[in-house]
Amino acid sequence: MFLIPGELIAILTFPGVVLHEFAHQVGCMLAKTKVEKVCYFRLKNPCGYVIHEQPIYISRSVIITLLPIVFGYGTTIILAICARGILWSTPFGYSPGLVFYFLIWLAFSAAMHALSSDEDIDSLWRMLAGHRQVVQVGGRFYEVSFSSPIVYRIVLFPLGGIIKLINALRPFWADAIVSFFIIAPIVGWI
Amino acid sequence: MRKSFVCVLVGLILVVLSAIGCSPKPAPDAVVTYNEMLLNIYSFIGDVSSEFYVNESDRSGVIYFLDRLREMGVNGGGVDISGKMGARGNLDYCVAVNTVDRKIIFLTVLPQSIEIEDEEQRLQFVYLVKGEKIGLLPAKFAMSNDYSWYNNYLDEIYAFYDYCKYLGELGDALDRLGKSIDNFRIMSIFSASQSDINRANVVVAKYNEYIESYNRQIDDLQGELDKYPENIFYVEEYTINPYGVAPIPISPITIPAPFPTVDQLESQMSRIVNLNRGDFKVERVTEKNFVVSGFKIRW
Repeated sequence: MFLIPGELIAILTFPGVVLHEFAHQVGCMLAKTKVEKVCYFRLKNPCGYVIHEQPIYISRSVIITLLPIVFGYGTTIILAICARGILWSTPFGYSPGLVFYFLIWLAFSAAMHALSSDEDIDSLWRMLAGHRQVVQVGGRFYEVSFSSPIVYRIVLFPLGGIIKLINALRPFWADAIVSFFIIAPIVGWI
Repeated sequence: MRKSFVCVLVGLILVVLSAIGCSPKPAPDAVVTYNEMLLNIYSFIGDVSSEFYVNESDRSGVIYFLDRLREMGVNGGGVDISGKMGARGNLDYCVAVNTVDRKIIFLTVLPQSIEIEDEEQRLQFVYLVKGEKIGLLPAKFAMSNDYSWYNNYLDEIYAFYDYCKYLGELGDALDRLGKSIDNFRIMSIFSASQSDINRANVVVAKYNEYIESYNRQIDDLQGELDKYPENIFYVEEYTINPYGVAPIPISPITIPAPFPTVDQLESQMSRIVNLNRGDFKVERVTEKNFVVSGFKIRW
């Protein structure tokens, strides 16, 4: 099996890491949850992180956890459409040019880091399962046990399972394969 | 000429209208005292708490809270709180009420998802000062609107918390010491010399004195407990100052470790028993709470 260290992949696809953390940060702002610290990129594991308060409502936690997927794949699709436009406007037999490859690289980077991390999914699952969590309101800490709507559980448990499966298969390039199968049909490669 | 006159006139009207719109509305007249209002709110606090929880929105909870206040003849206002970095933490909105005796105060209600033994403590007094961290305290314990009073109260409450923790650890240490003494007695039947037995008797007498002293402290503590909110100590932002607890030296005693000499024990115990509240410092280890950069009251 052809293995590449995660750090090297992160360096090669760093715009995706930055976008992922930025999405978390925007999620925190939308969910009115205070961000303690943001690191968009670094040469350590994890390559980026957002430290934020534990939200008091499940819906806010869902926004923070899942917004990177929306941002990541949304950006991927938009960039792939732009790349497709360049490719289609290029006469047959000519190279599409650097801009095309740059867009593909950006799209691929965004897709590679679009999925939420296992830690994010575990945290969300714990909330959905009604585990007790410590939350802060104003200046005080309280223990909370969440009771989630059934719709959340029906949708988010399987979705989280799929994400965790892809994350588990990262050594076998699952994230890259998923990225390829999102970009390729749009660009017209398959 | 006429056209420019009309433009100026329209402009003036717009300025006047915007000035009227922008000027803060005066607070409604105060109609209830603080304590009267609390008693009334306690009667429907479960409904408000449920509204916060079901709709997962501070805003809708506050609107519902204001409606219930109006039903009881109190006209309150919604308060929009903003913090730095555009995020507002877990408290975006609260309620403002003008009371006869306490003037304008801020209140919020903790959602039902938060576990609290005393339901009345769901009603929280909010300390809002621009440039300061948001302060929360169960409304029935908030004796003053003053932010510095709140800070002093917190210092007191955490010093008390440290003191309780210390007494707990002291009790554990005394238990261990008691077991060591029992063990020493058993051992001394077979092997100890008369001088060891004499020394042990002195230590046992001393130990009994410490136990009595400890029990007196526990009795005093029981009287203090009612002055503070229950469950307020569920905090990770504060920790016990290790220097407050460190002077307990008898914890490392393991059986059948050598029994400490009377001198050692006396010096150790005198350090423990002489400690008082002033010896405990409250140490705040994190700065997680966010600073209020602004808040607007919409009466």
